Amino acid sequence: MASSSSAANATAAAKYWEYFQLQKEAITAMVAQSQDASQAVRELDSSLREAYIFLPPYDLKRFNDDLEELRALLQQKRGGASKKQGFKFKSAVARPSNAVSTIVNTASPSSADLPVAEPTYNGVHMPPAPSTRPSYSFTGIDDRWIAADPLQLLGEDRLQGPTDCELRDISNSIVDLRPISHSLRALNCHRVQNSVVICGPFSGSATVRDSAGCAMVLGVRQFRLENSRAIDVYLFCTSHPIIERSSGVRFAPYPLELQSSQIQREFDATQLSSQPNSFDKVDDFNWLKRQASPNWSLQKLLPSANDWALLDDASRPCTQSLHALIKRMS
Amino acid sequence: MGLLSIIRKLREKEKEMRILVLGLDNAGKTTIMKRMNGESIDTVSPTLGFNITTLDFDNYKLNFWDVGGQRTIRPYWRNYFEQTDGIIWVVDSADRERMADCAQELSSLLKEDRLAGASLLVLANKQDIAGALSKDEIQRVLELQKLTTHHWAITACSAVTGENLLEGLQWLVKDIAAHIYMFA
Repeated sequence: MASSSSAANATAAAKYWEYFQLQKEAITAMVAQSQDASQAVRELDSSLREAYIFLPPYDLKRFNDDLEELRALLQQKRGGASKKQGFKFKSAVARPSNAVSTIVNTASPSSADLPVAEPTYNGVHMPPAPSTRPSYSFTGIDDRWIAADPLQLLGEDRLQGPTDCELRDISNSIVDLRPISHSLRALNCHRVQNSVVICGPFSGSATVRDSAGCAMVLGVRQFRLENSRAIDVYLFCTSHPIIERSSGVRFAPYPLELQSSQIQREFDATQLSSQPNSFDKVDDFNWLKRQASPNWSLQKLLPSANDWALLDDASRPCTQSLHALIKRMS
Repeated sequence: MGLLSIIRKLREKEKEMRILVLGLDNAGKTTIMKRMNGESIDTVSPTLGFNITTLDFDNYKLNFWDVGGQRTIRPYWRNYFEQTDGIIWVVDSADRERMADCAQELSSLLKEDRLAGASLLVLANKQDIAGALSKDEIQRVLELQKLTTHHWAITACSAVTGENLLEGLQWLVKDIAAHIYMFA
């Protein structure tokens, strides 16, 4: 059944696959260095069209998706310069910085007042999960000091068993999840910019995507970072943390300064501390060479006890604490 | 599954099945495998590459290929398609933000010729998390009821508690056996 032509096709497909990966890497590198890669993308596109005859459908779909991604990247780079200027007026809405009680405990998940965009998939309308299922969600927050409240759940307000927490579209804020971390089993962060996220230990996984300029304090079983840059991670992790399509990531152990007796009890309860902390055994999925990955490093200059103490003083304006804890913010 | 491979299977003394375990990153593929194999799940790292687990189950020898789901290594899935009898698609039921991604990856996977005829078991994992989507909701998002090219089933399960893992596997093995070993 395996005719010689299908074998030849398979070889050609494998060869083309290698060629495509090389080109893709080259284009990504060019874009990163702000060179014009549009010619290279066009060439790749036409080579793909020639390869249509021998590529299996799954590969074809893959290549087309990748190509689309490259075009988007190119577009983003071009649009980047003009976009920036429109983005500058956030300081104009800065709140009076001497407001005494900066603890914003509304935590925003009171479901009714937030117009959450209801996702549809392939035209199928999905009922938003929050309506029936209890989970924590903090979305669309700028310049606030948030301390999560164990009672403010989406959906039912009584919580039976562990749940998950989602942070989405958060900027210039401090999010303190310590009050709820004991009931968490998963934490997903999307698009968190220039913020500090602090969380107690929990027995589950944390994922951070599309974020930049943040400091994150986490005690987890698994840690994943994707498509992010300039993140400081203070971590207790019982498995190898991984980074993917990210750069400028610095790792440090979970700060002793934050290990209050309460947090220590939680470490014991989750049994995380019965395993060694592997915060420094990072795997970079985009760096498979033997030499150290240039995308991450261990953080040498740690924040002082005074810096961490800022997190317990919610009366300060959060910009001040952000400056202290995200040192390289420019 | 071509005629040739069916005949080949019939000749084999040992009844083997090759099962591919796929899904987005953080779905719990490796944790499920470890749980089924009775290993500790405390220090499971995100998979860089793949793991092979062999289990004896109902007189069959099951070879599981658990392939990492991180975005960077998803293009390599294609290298594992050959001779697959069953697919286990693992879903992180608590990851609402990426359900659409998950549906898209699955639908493009099922278009693959080399996987034609393979039985599909969808595991709606992480049901131990209170905020997780139910089996029915996931079935709707993945549009399983429209799927005509593969035998499929969906099971709500939890790798942490071990709930329903064996039930799902039982269906898969039975379904594969019914169309591969029908003369055995």
